[in-house]
Amino acid sequence: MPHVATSQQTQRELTVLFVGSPSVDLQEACDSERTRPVNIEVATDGRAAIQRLVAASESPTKYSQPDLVLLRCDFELPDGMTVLHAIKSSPRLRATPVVVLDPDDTNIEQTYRAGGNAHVSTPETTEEYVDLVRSITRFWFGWAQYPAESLYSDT
Amino acid sequence: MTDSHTRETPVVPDSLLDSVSLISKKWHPAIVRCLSDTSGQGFSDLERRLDGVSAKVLTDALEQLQEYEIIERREISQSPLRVNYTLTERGKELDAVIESLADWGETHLADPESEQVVLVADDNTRINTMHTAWLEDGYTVRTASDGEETLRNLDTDVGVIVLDRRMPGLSGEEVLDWIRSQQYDIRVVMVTSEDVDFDLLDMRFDEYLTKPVRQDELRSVVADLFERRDYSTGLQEYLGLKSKIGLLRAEYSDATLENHDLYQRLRSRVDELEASDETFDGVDAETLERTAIGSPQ
Repeated sequence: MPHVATSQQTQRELTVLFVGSPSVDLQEACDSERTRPVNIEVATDGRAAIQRLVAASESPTKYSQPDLVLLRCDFELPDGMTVLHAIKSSPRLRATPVVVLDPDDTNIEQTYRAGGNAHVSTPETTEEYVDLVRSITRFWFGWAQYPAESLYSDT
Repeated sequence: MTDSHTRETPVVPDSLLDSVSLISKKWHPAIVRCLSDTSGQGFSDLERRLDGVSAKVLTDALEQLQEYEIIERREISQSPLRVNYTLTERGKELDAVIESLADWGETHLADPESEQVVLVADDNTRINTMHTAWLEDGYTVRTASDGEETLRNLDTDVGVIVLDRRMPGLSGEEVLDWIRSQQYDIRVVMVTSEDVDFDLLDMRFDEYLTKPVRQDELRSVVADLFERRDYSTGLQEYLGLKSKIGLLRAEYSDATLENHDLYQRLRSRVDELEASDETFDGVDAETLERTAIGSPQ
């Protein structure tokens, strides 16, 4: 069974951008279970997410470009699907994996059509969040091969 | 009755298949075009003009064209051997067919990617409809009525955006920041009803129009911006800065501008770009002349 590969360990901290309002303290949840350093940042709505992504492109020394985006579709203007489209059509970000959490499960097909990498059901309890973040980061940062260079230091 | 049916020409006669097969070869039509309007060409002339052809392939193609009596080979001298190829009468007829095929291709098969897409974004429906109508005959126009819709309509097909500066929700300025930070190859004309102010200094638009915008003004700016897409990034930046500086110079006194730090920094950036050979590298004289309008100082 594949484990989080030691050869892929990097000194750089990986950044996960969570867009939306998580119902628990995500960083804490991740700290308790993380298998490698993962920095979780939260942008509470679409506008904040766009601003955060602009900032990462404009001042890369101050703000890191996210290695993965968790997009919880519970905000408006711009809504989750607009943010997903913006990331997936951006020449700079299109290779960044985006995992959509959608409390209403209404956007499943739309997510994949827009190039979303996965649509998963939304966690509610701290335990479920920990479980989700652990699985997703283990999958994307440990198991998956992905063209985004930033994910692995040795490829 | 039945007789005439059996003698009816098939939909694809052999004669058509033969012609198509002849001109679908890679070098045959090229050789015919090379010999068109010349008094003849030698082997080495053809070899040079048909960049990439090997001597063997060229020899074979020339032999085949002679067999069809499309070209004629004449020996000019024996030692050293020099030959001259010319088109025969039927070769000249074929040349005319190939030329019209080329024209047809240019008209109808032009690269579909060359479709020019303009995104018009304004929260005022009336203005949106008007600007769209003005551009529709020359471009594929997408319309958005707020910042969110603009984001949803944004992709790498879009070449030029006519962007309202103030829109509810995500503003034009925020959309512009997004476009620039994500390295879209999109030229932006900012449209606004507001007066020119120093906030403009931070905005990386390519052109700026004040409402009400006239039809000829919008059309000429959009056409100009599509042309700018082919320019180097240095020249694009230079032209964007020149447009910005022109706006501010029309609004503020020299004394005010001299004391403004950011303005001075833009000015030195313009001088820097002006001094760099790369900025105007490969730019034709006509473009240079056009861009020199409104030169600073």
